[in-house]
Amino acid sequence: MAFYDSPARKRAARAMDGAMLLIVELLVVQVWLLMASVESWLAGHRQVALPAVLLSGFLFAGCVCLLALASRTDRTARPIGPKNPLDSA
Amino acid sequence: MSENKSHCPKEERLWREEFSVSSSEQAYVERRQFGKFLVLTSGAMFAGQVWLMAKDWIAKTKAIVWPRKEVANEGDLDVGAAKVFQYPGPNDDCLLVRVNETKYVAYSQKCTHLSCAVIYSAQKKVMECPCHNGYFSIEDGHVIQGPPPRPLPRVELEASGGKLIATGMSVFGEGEAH
Repeated sequence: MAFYDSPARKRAARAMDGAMLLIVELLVVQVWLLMASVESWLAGHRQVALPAVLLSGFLFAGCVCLLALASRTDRTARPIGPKNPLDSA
Repeated sequence: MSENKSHCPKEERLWREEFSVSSSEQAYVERRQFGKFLVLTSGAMFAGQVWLMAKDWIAKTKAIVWPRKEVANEGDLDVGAAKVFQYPGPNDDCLLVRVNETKYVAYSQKCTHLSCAVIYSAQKKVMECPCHNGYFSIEDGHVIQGPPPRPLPRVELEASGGKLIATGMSVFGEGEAH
């Protein structure tokens, strides 16, 4: 059980929490952006489509990077060897 | 009862040893899955934006051919009167208004807020949505007040041989920066 309380594991869990918090924030901005750009587009302001897609793509890439970063931290925190850490205890 | 109480900690330990997944580990995995779900949602938002741009690109490349349709005879309506007609499709209600002796305007009758039927208020000289008190300008269809987020689509009219003919539709501010 000491594995779950290891500093590396705690760090990984904290990284995942932080990444998710940031992803949620980026997602809120993306939802707002989609809503605002559809509204503007329907109102006849057709020029918003391209900047909006670029910004949304940038935010999506940010989300993917954050998840990848958190997953990498998680992988490094996992022990190499038996799959179930309790088996080795 | 006292026997049960004394046995409880031992049973719990045994259960914990036999059950291979601890609750903290399970919560951790669920957090990761939730993270993946959030990123998928972010991808869906991005796909929505791409769809909007594709729609915009298609609209730019594909020229819309509006039908020509006779709406009314000039002089059929009194000043301040209005007439409902369908354009461009049979289910698209529009409103023809005679603003003064020489000027006729026509707009889609569907409010851009919640699609209520818009009426002409001759007294206020505005297009009025009675559902939520939305007002549109009779000059160009832009929103004067109320909840409607967009202008009313305008029907282009052409006077020919004493008849009013609908030739297309436009939206106030289309393609302009405001």
